Amino acid sequence: MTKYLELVCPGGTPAAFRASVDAGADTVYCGFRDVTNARNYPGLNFDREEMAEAIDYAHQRGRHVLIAINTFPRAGEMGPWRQAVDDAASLGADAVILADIGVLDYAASRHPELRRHLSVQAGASNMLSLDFYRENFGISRAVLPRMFELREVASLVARMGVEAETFAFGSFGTMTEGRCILSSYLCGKSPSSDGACAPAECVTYAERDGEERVLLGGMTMNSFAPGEPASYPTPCKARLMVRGEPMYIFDEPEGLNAHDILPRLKEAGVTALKIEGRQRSRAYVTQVVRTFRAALDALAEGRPVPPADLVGITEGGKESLGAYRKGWR
Amino acid sequence: MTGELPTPVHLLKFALHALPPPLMQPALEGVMRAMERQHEKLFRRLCKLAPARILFVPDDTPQAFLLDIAAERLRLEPAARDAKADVAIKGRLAALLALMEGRVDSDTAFFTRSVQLSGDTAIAVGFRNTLDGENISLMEDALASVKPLEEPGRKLVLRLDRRLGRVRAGMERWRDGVHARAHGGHDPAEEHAAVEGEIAGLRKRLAQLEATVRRRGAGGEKAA
Repeated sequence: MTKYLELVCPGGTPAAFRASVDAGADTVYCGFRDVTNARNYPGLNFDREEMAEAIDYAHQRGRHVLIAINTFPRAGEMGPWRQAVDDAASLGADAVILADIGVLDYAASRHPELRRHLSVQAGASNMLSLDFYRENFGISRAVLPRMFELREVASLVARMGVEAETFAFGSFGTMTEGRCILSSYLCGKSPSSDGACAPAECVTYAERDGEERVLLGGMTMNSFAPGEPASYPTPCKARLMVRGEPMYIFDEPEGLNAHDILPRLKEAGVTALKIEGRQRSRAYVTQVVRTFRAALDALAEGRPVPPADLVGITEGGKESLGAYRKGWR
Repeated sequence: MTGELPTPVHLLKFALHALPPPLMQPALEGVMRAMERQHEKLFRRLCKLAPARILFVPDDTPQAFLLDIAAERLRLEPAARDAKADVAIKGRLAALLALMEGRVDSDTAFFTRSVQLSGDTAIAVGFRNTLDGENISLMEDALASVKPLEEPGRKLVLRLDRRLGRVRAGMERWRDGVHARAHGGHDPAEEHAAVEGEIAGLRKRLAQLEATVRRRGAGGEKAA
């Protein structure tokens, strides 16, 4: 494998983790099976034994493992987050991905030798914020929110003094990373503290007049005609009635695909590319990681980049460059 | 193993149509036993899920299947298509099998509407994610239970499946031909889809025009 850009890939389950490694990930990110990570969905994530096995699997093949402990503890309930940081260190993770300043402080003081990456959940979107995290908690890398144009990425990377990781493929959320609580109004669970946006127990599907309705917390989020591509049942992808017309008022159901601008991300000084999708199956992981691995290897060797055929697995069946090429301010 | 030898769907569909009802339950029990032998850890994890009844409703088979997850045991049984369950998962048999064997991503199956869900979504998501933790191949599991006849069995099954696939394709061509003749060369399904597409396009255009009119109206009000 080449190191044109570090390829950071999802491992939502032990099988998806192995699929990521086998398909060519340089690094796999994953989380414990509890509220400490932002993908706390039923059947996902790792218990401690599974995490130890996964780390061993990756290390034997020369790959790295990042453990996401990127939710925000509630007052007086630091226990699971402290335990997660301690366990990540003792299990031999190569870095932890953190968002909350209390958890960052705990990790920096108790495990100074353990690399700390700033999660996208922290929403650090300017130099003041990035400087604060670097100076106070010694972060080695920041995952940049999906809200910057390429030239803004380049401008930040030039000054931020730590490695930059940017998203290359996967779902979008609203442009308020780590601060969106829309789902909690409908479900009573906070995406930031409970780790589940639109938790499955609040989602129902029902057929009406030949259309498939999707409800979140009893509220209709969308309705799909037969054959129409569907989207996630999250409030930011809701198609709401506005003056009698159904409209996507927050985000269109589409997925990010930065496959065509990888050289420009490299030029911008980015260190690592993140593939989103810990909630996706291993079939998705294999297909996406293989595609990006092939592209990065081709770029490193000066060969033409093989075309990507990933639109079939993107949300809503639509791809976009998102904010990298945004036409709005 | 996943993806190398997909389950022979044509053969399976034929078997589901041909199998006498009294033999269905023993056959399903045999499948579950064979799978349990191959995927002991997976079965343990599934048994740890909250008790649930999951109904699988293939669009193209005569019956549905109910998976009953109870403490320390899993039971798969034939069921009515509207049997009571906590959650129902519907789609073509090939799509449901591909999902179960991890050959397609479940979110993709949902986005493309090849699989539909009704009922308790949390149960379906937990089941899906647990299942995705293991590489499953129904065909390999079944063949593993007939050792040492595994290799000849594989060849036979694949040959039969291919033959049934050809027979099915031939029948579909014949049916399409009969339809075409009966409707004077027109394909009603194709025409229906074309009309639906045209209506959807017109609706979209109308919505755009209305939005334009509203924007202009709002601009006029502001200017005034």
